[in-house]
Amino acid sequence: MNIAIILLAGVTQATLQLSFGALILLFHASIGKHRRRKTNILAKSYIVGTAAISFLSVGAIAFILGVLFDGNFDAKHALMVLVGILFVSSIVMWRFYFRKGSRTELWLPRSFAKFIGKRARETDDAIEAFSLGILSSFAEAPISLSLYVVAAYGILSLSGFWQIVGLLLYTALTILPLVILKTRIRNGNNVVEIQKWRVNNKAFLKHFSGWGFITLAVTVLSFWVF
Amino acid sequence: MEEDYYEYSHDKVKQNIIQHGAGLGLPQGWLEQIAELAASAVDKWAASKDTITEEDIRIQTINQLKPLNADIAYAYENYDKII
Repeated sequence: MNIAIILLAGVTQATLQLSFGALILLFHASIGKHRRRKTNILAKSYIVGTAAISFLSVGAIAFILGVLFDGNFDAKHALMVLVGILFVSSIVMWRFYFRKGSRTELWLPRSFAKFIGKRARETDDAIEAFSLGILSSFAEAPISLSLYVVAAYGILSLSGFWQIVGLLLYTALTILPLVILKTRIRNGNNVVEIQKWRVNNKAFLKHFSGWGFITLAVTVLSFWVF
Repeated sequence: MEEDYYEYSHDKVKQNIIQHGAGLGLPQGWLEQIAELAASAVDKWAASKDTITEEDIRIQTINQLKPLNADIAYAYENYDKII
């Protein structure tokens, strides 16, 4: 069951839109400026940056929890708080995550969103793209932190080899939408088509994410708390 | 409150359009032609005005782009609304 909870946390993380949107901006800026190969390198570096943050954040939280609880994870009160945060996050996803209107603007302060857009436009090498991936993942941290903690709890409850498998699976799931986006662009879709899809399916994205958080909260409550 | 005033520029409008259209993978010559047509139409509109804002130029550019190429118009209009 713990692997399933880790996977559910990974799927919920994958529904968050900031990293995806920032990659669209990166593609939009790069396709016009660079050759196709360079754009591919930038996209790969961006995805690796995002994956690195997921991998390292969950790994670090698991390590900290392991040290704090010294192998005894019977922390019902801490888990109840976590469930509460997951429920609140689901409400945030439904009510506040996307701004209103036929666009996909997120809850971020506008100045910060503009900064990410500017960084995407000015990204010219792999290191900058990697940093942009890190930046977009950090910017989403207020919402994704609870998912990292759930994944870390799940990973800690697995045995040695399966901990690595769980961590890798979680990371792979979080970058899956980015990999799909990259493949779609490589296969000839342009950023406008993809952005139009996001706008047209904004309600679906919002509900998918919200229900992801709720399902995760209920699952954690059922299997870890009670 | 301090405000910035500057001269309207055909080249700046054209460059902006090319910058947004380039991400769509259109042929360069075609893109430049569309940008030139749209920027010229915005020039005509701007010629009859004493003072215009950046937002006015943006709206006019989008209006001119829509019949020429809907995808460039969409990219121009929505770039800062993606995240």
